[in-house]
Amino acid sequence: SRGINADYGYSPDSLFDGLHHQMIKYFEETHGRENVIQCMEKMGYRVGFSLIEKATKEEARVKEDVDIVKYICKDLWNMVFRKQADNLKTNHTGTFVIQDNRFRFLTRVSQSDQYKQRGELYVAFTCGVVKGALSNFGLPCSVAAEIEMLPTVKVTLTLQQPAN
Amino acid sequence: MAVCIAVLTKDNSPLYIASDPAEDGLKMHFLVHTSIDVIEEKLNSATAANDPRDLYLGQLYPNEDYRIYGYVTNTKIKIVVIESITNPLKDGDARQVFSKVHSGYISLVCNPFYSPGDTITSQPFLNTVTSLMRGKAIA
Repeated sequence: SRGINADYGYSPDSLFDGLHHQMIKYFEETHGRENVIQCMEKMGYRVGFSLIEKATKEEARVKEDVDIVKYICKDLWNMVFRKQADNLKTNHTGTFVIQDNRFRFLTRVSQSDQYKQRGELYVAFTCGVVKGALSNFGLPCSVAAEIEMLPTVKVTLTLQQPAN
Repeated sequence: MAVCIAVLTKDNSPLYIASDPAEDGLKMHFLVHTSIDVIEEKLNSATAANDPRDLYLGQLYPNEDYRIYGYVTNTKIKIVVIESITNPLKDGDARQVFSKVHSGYISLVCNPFYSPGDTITSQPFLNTVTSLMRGKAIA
């Protein structure tokens, strides 16, 4: 059974999409546009942290930094977005770039430059999730998002310690 | 029956230690503390040959009166379980004990009122550990 929500045409995904959008609007109204990213990231952090705690219980020990980032690209991305990240690049000195060519929260935004800046607000929560997830793996990092062309999003992580 | 169960962070600070009142609490703390070094050694020295990737580390080191088992989660949380030789856990039970403590910890982290890194005072978690130490089935 798909559950009562599916019968009405809603799914947990669209419910969260709606909530995510309202969270951004809420923080914009109460904390100002310049603080939205920080607020969304902070919330994402705790979510990412908990997700990893739960998801890795039955996993074999994930050891190398690279394997941890790959886990983020495959397993975590799958949990959150029902798809894997599309590309992962690294400079082998602790910086990784995760690319998603159809970033879920921006797939309905028209591909126009005027929305790029606003689009950054829509990646903030996800950046927080990635940050929290990596932190719980023992790899604190800084995370930044880049939107060159909607709906492709690049998330750059810079590990705070030297890579293995 | 476990006589001591301890949960430690990746920096080895104790989030929770409980020991059976019949045992010397200080001795239990000491055994847990000693096992930290052994755990770290096991984590760092895994060679390509004997690298099982298991979260469960098995018995850590021999002791006359107790068996000390270790377990480290993917999130670097260390769990130590000590059993008394005179009152051992049932066969294979060490893994089960760790699994239940781990599940209890996960529930705790998912609790929005708990801040990771804080000492554990949550009643459900305390109940889980107390039941495990008494050898009763978890409700």
